[in-house]
Amino acid sequence: MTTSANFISRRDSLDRRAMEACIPLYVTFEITLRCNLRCVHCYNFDRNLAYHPQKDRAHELTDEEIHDILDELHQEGCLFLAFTGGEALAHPHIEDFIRHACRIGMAVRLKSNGVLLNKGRVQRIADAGASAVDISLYGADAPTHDAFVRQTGAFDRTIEGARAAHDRGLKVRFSLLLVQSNANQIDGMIAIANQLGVPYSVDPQMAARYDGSRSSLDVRIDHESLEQIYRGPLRHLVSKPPNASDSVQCSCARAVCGISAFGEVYPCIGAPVPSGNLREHSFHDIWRNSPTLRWIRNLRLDDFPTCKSCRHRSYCRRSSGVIYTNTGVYTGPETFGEDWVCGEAEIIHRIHDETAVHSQTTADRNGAS
Amino acid sequence: MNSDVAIADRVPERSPSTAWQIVEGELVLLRLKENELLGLNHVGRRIWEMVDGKRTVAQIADVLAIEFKVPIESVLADSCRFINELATIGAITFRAVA
Repeated sequence: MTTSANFISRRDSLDRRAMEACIPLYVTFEITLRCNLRCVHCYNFDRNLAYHPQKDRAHELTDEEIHDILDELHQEGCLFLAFTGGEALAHPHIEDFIRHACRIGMAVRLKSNGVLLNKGRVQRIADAGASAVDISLYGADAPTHDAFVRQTGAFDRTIEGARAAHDRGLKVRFSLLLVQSNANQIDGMIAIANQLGVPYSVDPQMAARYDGSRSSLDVRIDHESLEQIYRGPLRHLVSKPPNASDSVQCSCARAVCGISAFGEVYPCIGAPVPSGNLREHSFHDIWRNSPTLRWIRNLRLDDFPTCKSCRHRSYCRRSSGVIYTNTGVYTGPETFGEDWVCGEAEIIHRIHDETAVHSQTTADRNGAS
Repeated sequence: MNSDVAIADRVPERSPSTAWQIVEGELVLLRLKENELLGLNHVGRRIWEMVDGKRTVAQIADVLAIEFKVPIESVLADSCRFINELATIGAITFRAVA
């Protein structure tokens, strides 16, 4: 008999196995729509309203249901669990859920606006077992950030929350949302992350709301501003080689899954395609047998009629979830330019082509000299 | 006596600093702080399943000896070594001796 522990050298090998075997390794669980802020871009629902116009707050998952779902998720293969909302920390029993999820073996990350992360709260979620927090940042200064989330003082509390979490040893990552109102602040937003010594991601894509309203799209950054930023401070994000894959397939419904605050299973929390409800069926049953999830898993390039012939496809950061919320068609857009992301791909392609020409010209000159 | 066997009467339990999942039959451990993945073979998986904060290492070895039909002496030494390795990397801890 030989016992052995061997290191799996790369996370992507585990991800690949999950993709191929359709194991829900990554689950984002929306435990409530409650939130302490009223962000103008919120995808849950228009925060000018008291609540989602087609939902009943009283019908959010109960604590008991959430605990049961956590058990089901781990049994079906989840390793990386993210709690989100609304604001996950607005749920009065979030620490219980974290403790439960960690005890049964999952790595727990919170997606948060950071405002509620005072030192005491950080201590409690860390003691419960959370290992990481993603914190959203919408500006490099208080006026910009606070106007976006519509709460005075939010910026300072978010930064303090991030610092408290970082100091406690939680893995903090800033999610920098790039919108028109902070288009000239991305340098400052990155500097905040760097000063704190935490990584960041940048996302310029915007989704229509899950309540069907579309005013969240009004805050999108325009393509002209985006191109300036991609040629300037975010050059490093668009300088990678183009995607050599001949696919638009993503990890939705394969290694990734989302659960709504009402028990609806989605292929991804960013792709609210109804695939079954956990109040009616087990997660195992929905994950294995949902016709919607099966359909998504089996999509091939030919199923994306506009994308398959698009000359910018290798440079595209298309998210089927965003396309779905914005156009109503998961395999859309139905025409080039119908969604904002088409213009983004065109910009990235153009920058790459210019860089390639410049490199070739420089090489020719050096060769001639 | 192998120094590893000194832990035979101790009770191991899983550390909260380690997440885990079974991926296509293989037990995968995730060391949270290090963001490091370890894969365990089927015997390692069986040991992990029995690390429940109640059984001693010797009791775990007894079960393995029966299930894998191997002499208890060798399986005890092997189990102690393996559990010590997991303790060294922080994947398990030992319950305090009363």
